[in-house]
Amino acid sequence: MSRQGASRSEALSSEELLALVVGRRWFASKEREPEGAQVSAVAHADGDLELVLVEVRFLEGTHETYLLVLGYDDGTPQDALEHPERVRRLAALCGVDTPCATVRPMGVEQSNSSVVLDERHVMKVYRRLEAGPNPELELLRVLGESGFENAPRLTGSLEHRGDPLAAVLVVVTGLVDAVGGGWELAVDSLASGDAQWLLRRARRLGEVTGAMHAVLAASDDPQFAPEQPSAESVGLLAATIDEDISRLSMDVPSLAGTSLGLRLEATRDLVQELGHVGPPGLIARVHGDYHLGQVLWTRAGDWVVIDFEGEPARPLAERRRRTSPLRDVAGMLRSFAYAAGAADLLHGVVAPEAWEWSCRAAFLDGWRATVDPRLLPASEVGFDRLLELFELERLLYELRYELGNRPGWVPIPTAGLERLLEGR
Amino acid sequence: MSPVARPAGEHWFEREPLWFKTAVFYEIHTRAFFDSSDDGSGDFRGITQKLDYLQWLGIDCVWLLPFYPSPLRDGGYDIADFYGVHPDFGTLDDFEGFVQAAHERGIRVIADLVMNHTSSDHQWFQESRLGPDSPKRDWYVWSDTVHIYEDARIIFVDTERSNWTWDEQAGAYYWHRFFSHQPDLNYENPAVQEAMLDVLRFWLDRGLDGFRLDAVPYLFEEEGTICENLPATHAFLRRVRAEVDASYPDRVLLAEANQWPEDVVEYFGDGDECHMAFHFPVMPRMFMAVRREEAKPMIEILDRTPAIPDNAQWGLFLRNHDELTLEMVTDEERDYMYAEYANDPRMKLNLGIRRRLAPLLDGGRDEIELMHAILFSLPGSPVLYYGDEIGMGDNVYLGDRDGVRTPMQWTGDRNGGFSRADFAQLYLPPLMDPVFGYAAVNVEAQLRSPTSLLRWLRRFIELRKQHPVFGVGDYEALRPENPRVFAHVRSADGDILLCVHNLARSAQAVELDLSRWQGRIPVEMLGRSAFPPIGELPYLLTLAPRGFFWFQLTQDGEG
Repeated sequence: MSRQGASRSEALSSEELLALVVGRRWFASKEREPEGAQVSAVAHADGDLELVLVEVRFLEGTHETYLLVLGYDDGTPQDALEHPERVRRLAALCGVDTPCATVRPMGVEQSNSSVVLDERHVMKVYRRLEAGPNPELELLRVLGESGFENAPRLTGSLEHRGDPLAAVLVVVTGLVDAVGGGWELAVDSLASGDAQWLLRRARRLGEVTGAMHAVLAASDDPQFAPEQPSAESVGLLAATIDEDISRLSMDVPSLAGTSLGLRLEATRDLVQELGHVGPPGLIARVHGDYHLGQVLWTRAGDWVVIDFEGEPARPLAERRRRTSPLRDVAGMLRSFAYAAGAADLLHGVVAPEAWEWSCRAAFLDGWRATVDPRLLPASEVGFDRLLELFELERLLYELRYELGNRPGWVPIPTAGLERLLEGR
Repeated sequence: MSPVARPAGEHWFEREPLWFKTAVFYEIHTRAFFDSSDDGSGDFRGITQKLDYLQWLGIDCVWLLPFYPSPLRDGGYDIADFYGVHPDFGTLDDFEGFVQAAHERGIRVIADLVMNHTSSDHQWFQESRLGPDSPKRDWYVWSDTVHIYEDARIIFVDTERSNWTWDEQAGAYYWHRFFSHQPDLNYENPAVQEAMLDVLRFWLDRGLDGFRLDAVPYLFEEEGTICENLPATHAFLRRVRAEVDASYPDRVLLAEANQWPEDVVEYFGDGDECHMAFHFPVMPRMFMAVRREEAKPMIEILDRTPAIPDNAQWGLFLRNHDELTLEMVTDEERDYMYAEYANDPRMKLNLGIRRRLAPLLDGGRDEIELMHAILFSLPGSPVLYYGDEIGMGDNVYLGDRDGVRTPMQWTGDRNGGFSRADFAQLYLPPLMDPVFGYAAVNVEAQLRSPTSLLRWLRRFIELRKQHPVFGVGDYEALRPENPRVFAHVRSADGDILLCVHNLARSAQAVELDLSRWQGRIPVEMLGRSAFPPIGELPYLLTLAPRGFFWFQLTQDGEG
């Protein structure tokens, strides 16, 4: 990308830059004190629209790089995403020509900023930048080229090359004509007493998921070709889970002696057993952060998978790593448990007893019907164990989060833990 | 593995010029790590398959022993072609695939490079020896007499009688500081300097993150000197650094200069020579301190270590692929070390002891943990040696340094999971003794056991990496009256860590003067227990035999 004209942002002081970064929802290091900030590169500057890479330094000597999209009103820097004309020009830089008659923010800002343009395009601006290919762009490309219809269509993108890092700045996709998100629809239907809504669509969700995994594993892009996992892969996974359990007990001292604390200790024995999987199947590129919040139910009556960034909290290189697709499956299965829990906690409606189990069974049924069998463990026992390991990994993540943030929700992962232990 | 599709030298990392100051290094003998081709020798595809393991362990940078074409008369340090990969290890594509896969996991890769000499098989030497008129004649150091540079010591005293060897074909003597099959390059010749810079660029262009520069003190010779650490050698290293800095950000030059600290610091220059250098003398003193049960050897050598530039770092290690070198100790200390650590004469080699960490410490788990605690707490970046993380043993009946270069022990299966080749095909037999053999000591078993050395070390590496102060902070020795306790403070930017190590095999009490930090609350870092606040009186601690405590001195008791 060429750089035109002088950049006004280069004149901004460290304090002014920090004011534009710290406090925003997408600023990742809320608990650390920044030492200062500086412009490390200007990716684009054309007088009224500037894409600026800002390096935020921390006392420990580390730093993070953020993308600012700026315009200037009376010499004061403003977030350009709040200004339709500037958004139009940014879209044009991405190769998308659209008038931007309407521009609205899409949901809540997370690690990135998404806006909807003319009710036709979704423009996602990445804020925290990391070097290397962006998994979202990679996956959308591969899925699009293969004709997979259950993902948004990639319509544009903008990349920065050169110093201080090569990174994807913006991705534009077509807006999905959706009834709503899978999470809201599942919880709301349960809350209104309609237990059938997700149950009737769970098998299809499994089929779409399995097809997505099959397509990702079939790509001839060398970054996608499935591989044999290393001989230690399951051993490393089990050891990591075991360490997580022990660390959780240390991080949350109040767990000691409680029934949950004791159940966690019992889980460590279970991990030993689950570590015997046999040949675990090929590893491949996957969605990486898969749950009901990442699927939409369309007006045409099908599922569409969105948001291929992977877990934003993990380093980029790790999000691009091949893994067993059972990890995605485990994420979705846990999401079913959460939907039932949320209906209860938020709306006081208890899902029918077999609801979660039936959804799981239907989803797995559909998934197995479409997935590439090379991605599966060699035996049924191995399948069950590896899936349980991934569910356990997920459960620990949930438990840690809920203990720290929403104690009222702790019963959801706890119930999952109980079920895993009872299954023995 | 796919061919490298990105521009040469592009990195996966944000620029971080001082990354090496907080990194954990891991030394790998390519031949010994994992055999992907079932031919009995480890290879680059093999290491690539084990990257998940290295990432899990928390390794930031892999250091590869020489992998170039070589007659292998000195473990590959006798390089016959600087531009290739030894066929046993795979191809150049395999090498690049490995580097890329490592980068994708956030792991950097540096490699050994021998600038001082080549194998006598190298084409350069073959041309040089043809006769006085050979265009490559002055690429090596030739003489009609052995009576020059007589003040230079002989390093490999077990095998070499002179630094000069007669070459029949050339009709002259050639200079070699190491084995006679390793003629020294003549750095007085600008063409040699240029050729070596080309070699560096070649590998940096393939994504390598730097070099461990073997035997750097010996590049130049000068009559009337011991021919070590000469000004011309430093001048050339400054030139190398300038070339690297100009075109290759975030790379590291790690000097191997087995010298006293005051000489080694010269290799940092004013922050304009090598980024890192090994601290050789501290290592034998760690073993001495544990055996003598006193902190003095440690404190003395660290007192004797000069300050280094802010952009430089020590490389610290417990063991490596060479013998435990005793060049940088006194004769008396050397006799002590031999008596204590090499009771079988086979264990001695040159001026050193050829044994691995675990057998040196009689397999004592407390001792192994204590040594790692000291290593990790000192100012510098730790360099681990493959296999020591599971407590592998050695085989003193194998020749030279092969005893510490046996196959990595992955599982309890055939050949320790290292190779599916026939046993007889293996480059060296794996260890099979009942104590350290692969049936008892292997990665697979230790992954399963929460109390294993491997799992402990992973937690310990994670802990160190949570505190960059270990890499960048100040070091200050506390000098308690109890001589058996080695205690010091590391601090930077308000992160204050107190490290207390009991070198004795009996429980010890120690009183520490911590009055400067009065009011702070020590939090033990492994278990995160808060200890009583620091008051006016000396702080009393009791330590288990060979035990240690690391404390964070906090304001509020929150670690």
